[in-house]
Amino acid sequence: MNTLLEIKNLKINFKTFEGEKQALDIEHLQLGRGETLGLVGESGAGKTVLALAVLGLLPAGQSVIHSGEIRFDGEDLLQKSRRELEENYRGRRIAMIFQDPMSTLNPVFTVGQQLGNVIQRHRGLKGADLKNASIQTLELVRLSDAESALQKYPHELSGGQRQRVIIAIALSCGAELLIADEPTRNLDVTIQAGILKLMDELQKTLGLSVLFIANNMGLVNVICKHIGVLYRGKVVELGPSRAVIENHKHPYTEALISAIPREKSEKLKFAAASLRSETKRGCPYYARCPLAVESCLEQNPNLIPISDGHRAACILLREGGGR
Amino acid sequence: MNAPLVKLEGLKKYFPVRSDKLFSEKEWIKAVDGVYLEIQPGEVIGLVGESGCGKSTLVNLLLRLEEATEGKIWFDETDLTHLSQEALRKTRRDIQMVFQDPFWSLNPRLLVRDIVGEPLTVYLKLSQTQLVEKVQSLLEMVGLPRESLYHYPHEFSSGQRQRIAIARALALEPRLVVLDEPTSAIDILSQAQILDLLMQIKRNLGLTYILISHDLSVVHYLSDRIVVMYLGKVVEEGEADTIFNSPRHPYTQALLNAIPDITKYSLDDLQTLEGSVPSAINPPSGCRFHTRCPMAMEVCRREEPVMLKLGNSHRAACHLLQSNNPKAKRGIP
Amino acid sequence: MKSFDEFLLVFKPQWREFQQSLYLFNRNHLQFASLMVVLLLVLIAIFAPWIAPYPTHILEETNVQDKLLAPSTQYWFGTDELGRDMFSRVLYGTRISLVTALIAVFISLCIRIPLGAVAGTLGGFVDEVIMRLTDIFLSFPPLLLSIAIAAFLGPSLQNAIAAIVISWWPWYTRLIRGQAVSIRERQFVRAALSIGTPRSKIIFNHVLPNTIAPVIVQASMDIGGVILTIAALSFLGLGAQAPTPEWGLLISTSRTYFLNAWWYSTFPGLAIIVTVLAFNLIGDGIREVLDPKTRKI
Repeated sequence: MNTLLEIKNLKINFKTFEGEKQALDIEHLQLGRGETLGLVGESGAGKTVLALAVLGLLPAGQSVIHSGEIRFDGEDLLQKSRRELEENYRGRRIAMIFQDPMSTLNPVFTVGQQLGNVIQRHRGLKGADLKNASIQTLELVRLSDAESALQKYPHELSGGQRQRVIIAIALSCGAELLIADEPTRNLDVTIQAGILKLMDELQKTLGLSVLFIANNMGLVNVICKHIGVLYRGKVVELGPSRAVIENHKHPYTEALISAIPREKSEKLKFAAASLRSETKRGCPYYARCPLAVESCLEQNPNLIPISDGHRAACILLREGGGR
Repeated sequence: MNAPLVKLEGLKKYFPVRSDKLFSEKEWIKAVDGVYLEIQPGEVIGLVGESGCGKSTLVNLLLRLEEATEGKIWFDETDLTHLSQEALRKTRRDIQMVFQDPFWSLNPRLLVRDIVGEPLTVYLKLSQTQLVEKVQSLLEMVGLPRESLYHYPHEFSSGQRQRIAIARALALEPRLVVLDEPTSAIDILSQAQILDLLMQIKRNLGLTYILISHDLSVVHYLSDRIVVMYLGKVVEEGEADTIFNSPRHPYTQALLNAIPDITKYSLDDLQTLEGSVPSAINPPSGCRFHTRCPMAMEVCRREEPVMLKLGNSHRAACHLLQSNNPKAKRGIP
Repeated sequence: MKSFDEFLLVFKPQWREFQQSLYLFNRNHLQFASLMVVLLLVLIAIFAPWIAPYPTHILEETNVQDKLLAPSTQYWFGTDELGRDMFSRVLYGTRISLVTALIAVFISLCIRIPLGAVAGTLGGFVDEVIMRLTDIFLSFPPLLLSIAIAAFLGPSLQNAIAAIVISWWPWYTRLIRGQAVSIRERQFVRAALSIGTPRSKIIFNHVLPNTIAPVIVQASMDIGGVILTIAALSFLGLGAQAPTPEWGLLISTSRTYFLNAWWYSTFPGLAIIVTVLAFNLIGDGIREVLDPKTRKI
């Protein structure tokens, strides 16, 4: 497999008034070319922190990168200067789409101006060429009536159309890696299905690698081949979507899946907020884990291989997945 | 059957639109356009539909945050639409609401004590100790510790903030609680807890809920009956299980088939609807859904379908269901 | 013992809030420095007559044999045309500037906040009347209006304060009204309305506390602006009168000796710059602390 993004031993802390708090602690995570990886976890699990770290957009005064490397196409992004990141990576080879399509677009410029700006900067086109390229890009994202859409302001578009424009802007510069941070949050299900299909289609035709961030298992498995489950900045389970969902091994993954309501008033199984008091050592999930034993406190478990590509971080697991 | 707690009769709400032209005819956004609905006491009604279908306006009408253009809202045999401000204050105690995003629905500058206590101070004369005691027992009911009293909302997680909002809604012992997207801003694990809490409270207090949510799995979990709206009109309603297992209206079918869930591994399992909801200023003629309906016929363009009774409490408005209707047959080319 | 537990229950979260506020404020070093400068200025203002090396020089006493001396170990900021110690006079000027600025800002807040909040929350006719009134005042440049009013009322420090209050209130009435309008649309106000909370309670419990943050930020920056305006009025002879050691007045009198006594205008000028800058910076810090969004973890 040709690896595009590889993260090793990445440790990032946030400064708060109670001292530093661990935001991210990733042993190893990789994404191949043309692959799709979905990251699932609650808010505060570090999904967005990871995305911002890859882009080099972490708030400087408030975060500390302790160690690790983020390799994109072999180069360590953490060693790059801000200028290098801006010129060669961010918005050029790595694009990101955010969850709120309303505030991502600038309300005082038309779609054409915003899209044109990006295309002009990256491809140096002008005049009629620029307009044609803009229309082509909008047609690529299946925006109906692309030519008139260029003249419109963001508020004249619906939520789904805005998200399509944002995808168009993100991809107009020929990115290889697309980071999508809950792109369909707050969209209606019918619109969401359309956006997901579009992303899937673009991913396949353009050979994109996609890092898809979501807080819902049900959403990532339709679009991603692989799923990573994050808990408190740590990958606790990782593997092919079907394996993670149907044969999940980590108790946290289990909690996430059984918390999805399905039938009418069936008793929802959910992890209580806290079963034990928080500790600093050992497994981060110790306090909430229904299966925890004394030895969980001894060490922070590493990912243990279960089957091909499927790994989980729980000391109760033996290699191969038995308990 | 008992007398319904809430009964909507031909409820309409039109908003005027400012026109660009000086002497053009006045235009209206028909946000809610003739809704008939009955809610039995103790029921959970799920309101479903895309944004812009009129469900939020419907709720605003019920809470009298907006005035209805036409029609009647019966709440326990009083008509809310013609109530004076003074009389309204009394019924308002009976209808409370839990809002969507608990970060914005709680005043960031007030202590939890004052947020939950607000409805109490508005309606009752309580001493400071009585108030604190009452708030404490409300917090206990929603599973928050006593210490929460003197904290500000920003110190809580979104799930806990929603608990505070629920405690506030329960303070006056209402009979009807409107839940507007109660879990859309909350993580899946907290969502499960909140849903469980809501069910438990409903059982203990004998409440009636109106639930609005775009997450259909949440609607399915909580609701007894589901009402599907499209462009200001009810297109289908029925028992939750009936709607989920055998939806009859093409719009309901499309909505249900668009939900991704953990049993689906491919996007081919998802159905998409072409285009977005048409403008409510000039809604399409005939059946309002015909512009996006995969099964639209000629008659759908011309005639508005009527509500058909399909079973015990299951109703839908679609020409396809009128197959014995000669007009419908003529419509097929 | 129960009452002590009760006390802890209330006190602990408040203490945590306070600690967090300090942390947020100190996260930016410039803001921290400005806080220190402002505290120092306040101390100077309070204790000026006692710290000043020549307290008698502050007002009337003259000492003509030492006139216009350059800064030295004896007179740190040099002396003026009557031989008075500039250091003592500039120190005492701090007190005058801070006190006048505080009075002016306080009085105008008392006008602005209720007017703006009422206009923004109630809307309609009341809003219309208040806003048209502000429009009338806004059609004059504020400094020019203050000068005109001060000239009309007669030159004195009190009248300068009155002039500033009259010409400044409409600006922030608008600010607060805008804030109130945006808060009126927030969900917690809708929540309060749906409960049936009366309008007066909505203004006091929901709108006012949420306008306070931008108002305090603005007020702290205003203090800088008012100090500057008072100095300007005094410079023009419309504010403080001799022998008050007001900074603007000191600069005004120094003009005659500008060429051979650089210290005479420099030190009062520096005092104005430092004070205005510190108050502006502190405004940013306060904004950081008061915004509940910065505390979301």
